[in-house]
Amino acid sequence: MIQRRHFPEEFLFGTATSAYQIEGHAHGGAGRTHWDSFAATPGNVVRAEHGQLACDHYHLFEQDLDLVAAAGFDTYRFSTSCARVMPEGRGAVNQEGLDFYDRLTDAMLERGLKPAATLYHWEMPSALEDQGGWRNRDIANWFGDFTDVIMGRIGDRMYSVAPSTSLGALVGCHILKVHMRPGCANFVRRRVQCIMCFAPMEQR
Amino acid sequence: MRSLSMTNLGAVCNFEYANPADDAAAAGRYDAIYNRFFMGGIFQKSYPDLVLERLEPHLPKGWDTDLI
Repeated sequence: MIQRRHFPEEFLFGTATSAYQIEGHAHGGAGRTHWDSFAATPGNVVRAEHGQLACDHYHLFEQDLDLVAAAGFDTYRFSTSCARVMPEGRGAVNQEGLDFYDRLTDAMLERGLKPAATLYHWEMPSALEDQGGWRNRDIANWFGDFTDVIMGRIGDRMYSVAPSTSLGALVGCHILKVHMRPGCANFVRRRVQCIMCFAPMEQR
Repeated sequence: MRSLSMTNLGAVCNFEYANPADDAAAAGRYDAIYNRFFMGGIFQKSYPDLVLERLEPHLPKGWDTDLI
């Protein structure tokens, strides 16, 4: 049986979540995301379920992180929802949102967990989606501004940061395949236009 | 983030292994579009020829100035 001692000393074990799936976006002054719009459209989701409460991680994060620590993990990858920090995707900052990620970060450190942030784990503010989302090349700058705000607050305590999760899956599944996400037609042009936005963003 | 003096910045990628059943060229194209498209942009400041061969007409205007 493979055991932990078979891995190098410096090997880090971790687990991961994404913001919209666990936090509960009805709380803390978060703005609307494209998932909220998707879930609110009849016929899209079984039993019309949505992420307004989700796992209520917004309130239960201390208990959740206790579980992560008790499971023996070294690192915890979480995502910072842009709509929670900047409800309209740009401009005004929701201090409650920043405060939440600040508390979350400290709660990880208190438990000896290395915080590994993901800036985008499929939670697009509706206001940005309305302007084309990943198909609008201005998004590299919009996300750059968001990055300055969120990392200006918690960046001093991050172990690592990735701009976006699973790039291939994001473009291949999330943006293109209707069954995985808010109605986008499946055609090549949209895919390549989205990929074109990642390169400048990743470099920023 | 670099201007905030942050380090250990990276990307999260999900790659797939393209194992051809009978068409090696198709597997190569899949590998180019699904995997190397991203790696090329990030590490080599260019996109694979196999990608551009078919997709260049669909790229947005000015795409080739992004990576300089």
